[in-house]
Amino acid sequence: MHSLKAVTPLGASAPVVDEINGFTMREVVDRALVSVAARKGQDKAVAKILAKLIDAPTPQAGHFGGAMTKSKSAAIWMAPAQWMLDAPMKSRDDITTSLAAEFGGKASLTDQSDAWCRFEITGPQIDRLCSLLCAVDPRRLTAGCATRSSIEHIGAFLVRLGRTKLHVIGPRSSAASLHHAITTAMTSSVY
Amino acid sequence: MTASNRLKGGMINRRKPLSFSFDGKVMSGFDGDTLASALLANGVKLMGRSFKYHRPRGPLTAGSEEPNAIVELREGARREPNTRATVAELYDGLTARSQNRFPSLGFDMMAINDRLSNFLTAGFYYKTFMWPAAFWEKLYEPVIRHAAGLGRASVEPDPDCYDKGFLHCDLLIIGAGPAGLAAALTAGRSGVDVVLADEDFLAGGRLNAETHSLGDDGGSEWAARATAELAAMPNVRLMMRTTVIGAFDHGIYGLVERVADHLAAPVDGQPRQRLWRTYTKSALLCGGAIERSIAFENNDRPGIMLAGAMRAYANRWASAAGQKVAIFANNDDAHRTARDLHRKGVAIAAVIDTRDHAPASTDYEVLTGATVTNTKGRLGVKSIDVTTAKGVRSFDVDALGVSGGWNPNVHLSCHMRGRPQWDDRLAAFVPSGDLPKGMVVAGAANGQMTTSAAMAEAAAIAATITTDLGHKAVKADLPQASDESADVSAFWFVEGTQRGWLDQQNDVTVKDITLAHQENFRSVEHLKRYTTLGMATDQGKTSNVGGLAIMAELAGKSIPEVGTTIYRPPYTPTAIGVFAGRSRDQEFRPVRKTPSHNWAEEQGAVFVEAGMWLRAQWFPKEGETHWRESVDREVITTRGSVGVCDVTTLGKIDVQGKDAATFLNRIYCNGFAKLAVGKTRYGLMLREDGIVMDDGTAARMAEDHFIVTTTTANAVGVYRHMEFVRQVLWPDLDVQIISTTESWAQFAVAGPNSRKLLEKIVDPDHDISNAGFPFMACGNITVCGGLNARLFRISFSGELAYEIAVPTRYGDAMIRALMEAGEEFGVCPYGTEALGVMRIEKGHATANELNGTTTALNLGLGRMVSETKDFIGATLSRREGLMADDGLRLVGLKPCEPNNPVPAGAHLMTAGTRVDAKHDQGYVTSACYSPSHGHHIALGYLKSGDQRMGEIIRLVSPLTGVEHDVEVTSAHFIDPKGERLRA
Repeated sequence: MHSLKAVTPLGASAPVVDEINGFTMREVVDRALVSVAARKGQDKAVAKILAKLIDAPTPQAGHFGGAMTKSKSAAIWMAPAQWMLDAPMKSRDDITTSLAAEFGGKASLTDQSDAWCRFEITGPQIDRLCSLLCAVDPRRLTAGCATRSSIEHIGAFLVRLGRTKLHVIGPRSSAASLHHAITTAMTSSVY
Repeated sequence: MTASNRLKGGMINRRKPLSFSFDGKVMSGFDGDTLASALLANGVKLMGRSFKYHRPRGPLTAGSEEPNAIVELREGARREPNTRATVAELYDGLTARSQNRFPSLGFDMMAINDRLSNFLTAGFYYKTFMWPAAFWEKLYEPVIRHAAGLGRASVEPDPDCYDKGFLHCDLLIIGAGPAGLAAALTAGRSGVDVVLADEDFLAGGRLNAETHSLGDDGGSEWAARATAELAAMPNVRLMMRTTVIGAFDHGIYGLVERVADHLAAPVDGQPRQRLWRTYTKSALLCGGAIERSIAFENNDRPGIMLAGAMRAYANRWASAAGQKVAIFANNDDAHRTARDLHRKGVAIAAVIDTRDHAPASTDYEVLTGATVTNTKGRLGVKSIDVTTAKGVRSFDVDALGVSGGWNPNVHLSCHMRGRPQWDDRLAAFVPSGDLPKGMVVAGAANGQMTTSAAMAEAAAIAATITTDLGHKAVKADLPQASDESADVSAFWFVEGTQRGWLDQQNDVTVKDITLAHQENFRSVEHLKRYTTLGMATDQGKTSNVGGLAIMAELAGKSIPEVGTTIYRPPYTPTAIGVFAGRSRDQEFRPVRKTPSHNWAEEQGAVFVEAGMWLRAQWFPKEGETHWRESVDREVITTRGSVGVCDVTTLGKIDVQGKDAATFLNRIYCNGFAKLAVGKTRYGLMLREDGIVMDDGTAARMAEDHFIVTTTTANAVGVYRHMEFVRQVLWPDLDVQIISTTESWAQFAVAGPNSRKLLEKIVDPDHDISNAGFPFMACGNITVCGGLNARLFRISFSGELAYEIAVPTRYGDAMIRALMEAGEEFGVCPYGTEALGVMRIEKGHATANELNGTTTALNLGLGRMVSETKDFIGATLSRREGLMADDGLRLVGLKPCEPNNPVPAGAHLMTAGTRVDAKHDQGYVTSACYSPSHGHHIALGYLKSGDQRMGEIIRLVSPLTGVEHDVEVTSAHFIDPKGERLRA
């Protein structure tokens, strides 16, 4: 076991939690993300392997499939023939190695776990919060949807896990700016 | 002061009295008042001074179209000039001051302008201040600005915050008057997602200003019930205090919600205002109509206001404009003002109607075929002269209601350059068919001038929209409105009028229009700019059509032939802050922090912006008073022992696929097809035109896997370029790319002791000796007892150097581990300044040299450009003009006098030639003080530079007065043979 200590995207030793106006926002650090891009001509084969891994149909554009729970994996549609596999973070060192065996050279795999920060937001007024954050129509961002938008000039993914639960995934280096934008909107969203 | 003009009734909450002050005088009003209604109730009619002539003015209207009653609201940093008293909601403790007067509103010395009006006509400035030209900036402009100021800005930072948000709906209804409410009920009951927005704080529009009934209810009661029903609908969002400021492309509307303007200060954490970008499938404009005035001599005195406004003040706000009132009009609607005021006990001196067929009254005198030809009263109207066929009569009055008819509020229907069309029946413009996408207009805004017609039309259109949206339209069962007559005969100005005001805010009179016509400024756009008609903060909402009518008569044209000017957003004056939203001060734009940011902050690093990144620029140590001391130390320490720099910001792109090597071979001008696994190569990327796009390295981690690095500045551009190449130019290649810039925390470890340091970090089963891991090697390693990491033996500094990458979450721990491991070698962190100094000393190019005009040949890297393969930029890089032997070449420059700097941007001249563009020999791109050499050095491009080593040339910077001799040298100031980096 190595001696280095990880920090969260916000630079803390434990996930930062904010509770504002009935919202709870928590830094998510226990999920691994791996980009899965099908090699030429392997779209269907890769989709099939992915479906098996997430135990659900491979998601179409604008959606995710599977479950983001402690023991289950999910896949977020990114582009034609490209998904982001979201898996429980066990040891980040083995995930691409074990996945490489699963995909057998049919997909290009790139570990993206550390490229992103992720905030889980829960609360009854997620739609209102969305309205202050980005141009996505919250009426269409229903459970199972995953889409890309811009939050205060930061490119981010919005993953709707349920009526009261949303994941915002943004670039790790801008975690503080994204955190500021979301907490500000939470404070301001009493209207 | 007692509320001398407060009437009975009204929609104010008398149980909630409010105290406020105007020009320091404390008065009282009620919840539900506006500043203007409260002032009127207190007997204050004089609320402002006009822009040019400083004429005393009172409110003309009761709405957002107000030109006169504009004040400075609030104090301190929240002081806001040019606020319309007619829409400023009263709150307890409100403070307002009149503006554009000196020393006081009652006695304004600048009113001398009014006496000089013969000299201050339209075009006065253009004609008078022509000469001497030098006087303009220093004398004329400051004096004019002082005289014509419309209020004072606080000149302090805005203490409030503003939000920007996004709304989505199926139907945006603009205006919650009778038409808007009827439409909203229809669509809302049918299940349509509706946003109903109105600038007022109370829904109902004119229903609150009138006394007529709707079914069994009064208009305002029906409005309140309809509003309550809408507020309870989950699919309807009722947005009061919300102005639709503009209609934009693709059915997008700008809405400004005034969240806290009715409060003394915003609630903590809440914004003052919100700008909502609203996406809607359809929009229904129910913006109502705006009353217009009639031009007659001295028609601008306080107490003279639009008849509909006078009625609104009486009915809604229980404020009488005066104790003895006359009405002057060309239409039936204005007679309602006389009726309503009479019923409330206000004395009606007379109703003066320009028409011969005006309705008679038993309660007061009605003069038909009559006009008001002049008024008297310095600070408020005291009497009016009425001319009839029988002669001139004078009436003593303290208020006069005027109505020249109503203009449908077409503004928003024209924001996409649509032009309204003339309706003879109404003598007004109505919306044309050329509307913003998805917009329909209904009600008075569409020329339906009775309440029942307006509501019926809006409900019918809403039903059609509902059906079009796929819903089953539910009928709104609207009540019958009591009938009112809207008869009108066009009448714009009283014959013989000279100083009859059209645009009261900008002081444009009938005489000014006449002058513009005489001087041939007849095009409507010229007329506007020459006279400033409609150019004030009210955008001429009450005045434009009157001006057009006069121009039409003078030019012998019809009003539609004269045409209108272009309507532009915003509909009403909008605080700049709401456009900025949260993007201000430190949050102006997002920042990107490097993995070692927190650690660097602990070290007291000075940061510099590199795009959105914040990078440590240098790390000052105690006792260092100048940045150069820190930078020199960092360079000397690194070159003498070892230094560490966070280089995470450089772009990293993961390139995978069977054809990854082929792909890179086509993107770079030098060969990559045969790069061995475990090796890194420097690469130069050209644009299609043969000019250098970016440089960097590509490390081959496996047969089908490369890691490409880019410069920090071009990380996004190169990625975009690669995506384009992959998807568009060669979609047949099996290549997948993804950015990994943020995935890895990468540190340069440079200096003769760098290997020794790394040997303490890299796990011992990885051989990083010179033999085991030579210059340009790369590989996967483990560090600190098993963490997967990557190591590259590359050097930007020219020293023995490595770049080590760990997963970003361990970046903070890694910098601390490197520093601890390096302590025995006296390791120092270095910032971007030292990085820059060392790369200049080594002669490595960066953005300064890759400036979008340079070729590989210019950089001295001509031999890198393959002649045997095809790649992007190959053909155009071989253009004759780019291949010339005497072209610019990258050289080093050192001053002949060691203390002289060699500033970047300076130009190079051959000794003895003239200093001009014709004799220019090149320019300096990068410069620094080299602590390794003890003098300044620079890189630059020099014509035939490669053949001029040792030549003394002149460095000139005419702009900064620099001129001295420099010697042309190799760009490699240190270790030209590259022995250090291979050590």
